[in-house]
Amino acid sequence: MVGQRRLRWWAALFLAPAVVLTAVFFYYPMAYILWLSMHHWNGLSPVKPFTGLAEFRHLFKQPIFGLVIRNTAIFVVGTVVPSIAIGLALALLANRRLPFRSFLRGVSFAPYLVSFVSAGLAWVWMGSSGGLFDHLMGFLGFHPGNLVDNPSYALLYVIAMYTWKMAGYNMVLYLAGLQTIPREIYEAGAIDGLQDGWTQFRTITWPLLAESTFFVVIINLIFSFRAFSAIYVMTNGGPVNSTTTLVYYIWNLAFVQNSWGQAAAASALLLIVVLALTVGMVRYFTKESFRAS
Amino acid sequence: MVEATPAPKAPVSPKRRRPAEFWRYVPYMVIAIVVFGFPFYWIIVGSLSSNTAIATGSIPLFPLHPRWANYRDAWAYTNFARQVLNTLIMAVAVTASQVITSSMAGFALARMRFPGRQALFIGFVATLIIPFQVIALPIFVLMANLHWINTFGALIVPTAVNAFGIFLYRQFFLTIPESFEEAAMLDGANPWQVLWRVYWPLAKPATVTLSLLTFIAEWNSFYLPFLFTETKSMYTVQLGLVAFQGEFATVYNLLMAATVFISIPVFVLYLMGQRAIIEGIATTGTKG
Repeated sequence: MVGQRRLRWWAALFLAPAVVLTAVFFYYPMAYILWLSMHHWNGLSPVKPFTGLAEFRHLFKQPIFGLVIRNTAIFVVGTVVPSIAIGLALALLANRRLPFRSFLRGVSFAPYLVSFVSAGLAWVWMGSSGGLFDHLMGFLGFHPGNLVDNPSYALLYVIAMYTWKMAGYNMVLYLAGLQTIPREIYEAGAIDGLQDGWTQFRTITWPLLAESTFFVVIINLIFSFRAFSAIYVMTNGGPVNSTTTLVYYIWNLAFVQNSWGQAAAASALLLIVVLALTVGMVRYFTKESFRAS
Repeated sequence: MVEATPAPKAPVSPKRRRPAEFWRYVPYMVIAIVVFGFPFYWIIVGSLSSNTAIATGSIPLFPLHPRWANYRDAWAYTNFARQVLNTLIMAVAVTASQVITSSMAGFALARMRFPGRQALFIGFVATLIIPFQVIALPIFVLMANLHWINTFGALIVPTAVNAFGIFLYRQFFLTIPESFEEAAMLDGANPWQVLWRVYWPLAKPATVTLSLLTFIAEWNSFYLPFLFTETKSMYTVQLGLVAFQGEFATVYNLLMAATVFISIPVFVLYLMGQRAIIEGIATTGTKG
């Protein structure tokens, strides 16, 4: 038998690679980004003078900063809400004993499997003038032209692509949740007069899916804040910055404008927002489940 | 609203209920399948169309004269072969590293007692919240200082550990009875041997799930190789696709052909390991 002391050495050995890599590639960069957000740097200069909160002030004073925040909010809410709602609807449909239900599952999950680059490029083509959507909307007497070149539609179009891609993922998460609900509950509900579908959903399914919803909301928020490649490939942040979100702006500040201090300030802002939302969700849902019990 | 409840219905036999239910839900199923599936069909049709059909927007609904040569032309145009090789090297190395680092850490967290174990576990899992874009700039500076930009080191090492894998193995190892470990220890095996000879083979489902999900994520990844590579000879497939778009912005038939062949490996892996992939996503969903 190995003694308690020697066992600790083994534990340290097993954990060493993961701890070192996590420290170097997660915790050190987080500390560095907070440090850099208080220093001025152009990405090349050997000196990085301390500037306090000046980089944040410069960032907030950027003429497009308000637009970036607005775009980010629209993108996150506009992707999270519909992709969860559609994912839940798909799960409810695919959970019924219907023929072709595994085909339905496979088809709606397929968009999640392809890369954002491939899906984005395909949607650029489908949204081009003379493309699929141009034809379809033409039937309604509506000719928006090239969707990704139109400042009024570009953000909505990227949101539509993103929702198409993520709904099937949410369906998988909700299907797992639905399968934990025992059939007997519905049978008991039917005896109590809960017969029609909507009442059943409202009083049984939705409350029992609370745990799934909690996880689905958090993971979708995290994913949506990260969305970069779809925007880069489809619109390059344009036209006239109408699709520039916070992550796109971070990249632009650092690698196009060489304002690393401001890029770091924007990264710190993103970090704070994502952490605050996650902690907020956790607290909200734990409170809710206390109330329910 | 529930009005005067009708007399409790006699249980309806599934045989009689199925057609009625089916016809009620058929419209929704058709809509869902068209919305999610039609773009795939359309991409394939586009990839087989001629330049004129693409340019004039007069693509037939059924490709009666498929131009298979589009695939050959798209493949030959850039050095996709080299980019596929680069992506394979990156994806295999990252997957192998994550399997090794995750199973070791997951074993220690599930099976060994030491101070700070819970805090360490939370410290790993908390990294799942952090968007890569937040930490990308410092990692870029680190890679530049190491002169690793445009090398495999930058493509592999920063993603060699992932808290999802640690979580997956920890949960799996927690379900294995302690008697396995005790029996092996009595036979004189040290913890290293217990992990790799006893526990790791039992955790094959976790390994399959983690490997498939990691490989697909690496194959599809864009931001990291986008920042950390400079030359076309180091590009991964997704970067190759974007470069292709840059040069042939409106030659959509070739672009769609490239999109199709670059997505094939992911679909092959999915069809091979459908169950492991779906369960991997679903269990992390329910166990949060």
